[in-house]
Amino acid sequence: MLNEIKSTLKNKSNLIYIIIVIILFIILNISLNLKTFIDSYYNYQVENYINEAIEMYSINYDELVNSFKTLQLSDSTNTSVEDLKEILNGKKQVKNIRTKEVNYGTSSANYIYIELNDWKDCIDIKQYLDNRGIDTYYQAEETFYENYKNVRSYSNIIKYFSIIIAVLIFIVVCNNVIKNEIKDIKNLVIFGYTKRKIKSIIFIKLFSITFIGFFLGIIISQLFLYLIADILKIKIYRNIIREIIINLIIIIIPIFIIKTRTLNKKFFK
Amino acid sequence: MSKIEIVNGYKEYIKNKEKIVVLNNINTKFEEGKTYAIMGNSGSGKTTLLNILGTLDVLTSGKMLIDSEEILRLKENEKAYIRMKKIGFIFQEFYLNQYMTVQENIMQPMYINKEYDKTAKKQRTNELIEMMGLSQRKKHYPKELSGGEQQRVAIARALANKPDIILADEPTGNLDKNNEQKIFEILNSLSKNGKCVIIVSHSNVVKKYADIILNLEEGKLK
Repeated sequence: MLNEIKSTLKNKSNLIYIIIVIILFIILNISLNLKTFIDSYYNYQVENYINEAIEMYSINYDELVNSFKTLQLSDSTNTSVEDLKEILNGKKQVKNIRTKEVNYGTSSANYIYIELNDWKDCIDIKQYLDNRGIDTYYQAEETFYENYKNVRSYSNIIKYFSIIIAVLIFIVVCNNVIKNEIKDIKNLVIFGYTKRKIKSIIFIKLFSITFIGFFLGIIISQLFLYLIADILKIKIYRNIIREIIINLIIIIIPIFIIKTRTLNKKFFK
Repeated sequence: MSKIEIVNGYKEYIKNKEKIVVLNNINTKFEEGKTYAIMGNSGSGKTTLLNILGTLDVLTSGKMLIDSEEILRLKENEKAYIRMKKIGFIFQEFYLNQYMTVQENIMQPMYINKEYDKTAKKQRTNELIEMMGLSQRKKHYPKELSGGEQQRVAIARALANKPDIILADEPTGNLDKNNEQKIFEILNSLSKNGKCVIIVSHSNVVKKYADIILNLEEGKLK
């Protein structure tokens, strides 16, 4: 097995594919972390906004922070707190539903507020209530949320698109590596290697090339993201386990597909 | 005793809905201790016959026996075992792994042979390197060797698991006359040592070394 790995890695024709795989995994891991990055960046924007507002208007910090995490019902007359609690039952993003009575001289009005755990949850809960005909509005600047919502959906598109592209490119890379190795694989048939043994050697050959790309891709993308975070002075929290799992799925599934296809070809016809 | 026997061997291909008969009514035996030369025009089916003898292809009908065992009935893994234990292949293009040294190339077939432990593999490899006169070249890569040396490595690799049958498909096709002679001498010496050597060749030089010459014409062996 070690000789097979050595010969695969020494094959200069495979070098270009190692480089492609490294670049592929760098781009993939950056796009998998886009949402985290965007979230961190907007969290930072929220902090900045709050700090500026406190300086300019001397508003209480907690009040400002809460305002970012709160939705207000547009019309409190049609929906009661009990109805709202039932609709939002099971939603973990909801921290509290409260009412506030405001007196206007001779009359008063009751306002219903939905407090959430995180300001980003406002977008999802607002959408959820909109779909049920309950209109709400953000306590803080609406354009801020809309911007974030748009950027977040673009990052999701980029993430899924890059996963699909990564799988397709990966299949092409694996096919080409097999083409480079086909003579050696045919030799194994001649030597009397069984199908099972040949399959495992193909797997090892492909995995040895892709593992280098995967390993270096994770490291370089990690360094790149931390560098950007440092420049922008934001903290990012990466879910490395999730990234590794996605990367491994992208490696293993195409390899299994190709392994089966290659051995279904007749080598000596 | 015959090493390989073909009885009523028939092979056809269907290409573009057209039936192409490659081998027709082949009845022949190949015995150990002899060198056989199979000759014929291009496209006469020599390589197909060799592939069938080497269990890399199957007859459309008829029987093929190796050491009295009928091959058609065997499963893929059983055929692979026969290739590993009993058959060594040599090709015109050598088909050496360009990224393995001479030593590693020769050892490659031994990795699946459970009879060899690590020491036995090294011993056998050194034996074959000595036999082929490649002692000064064992750490070299194929691209650093001449055509004749590469073919000798291929022969050494074919002998790795001590097969009784050697199948050579145009082994001197890419070699000059000098090396051609040397290779045929080596193959002939293998048959003198009890192996059944079957060579497919266009070259008339093979006639000098072959015990039996067979001509493949219109699908029939004469």
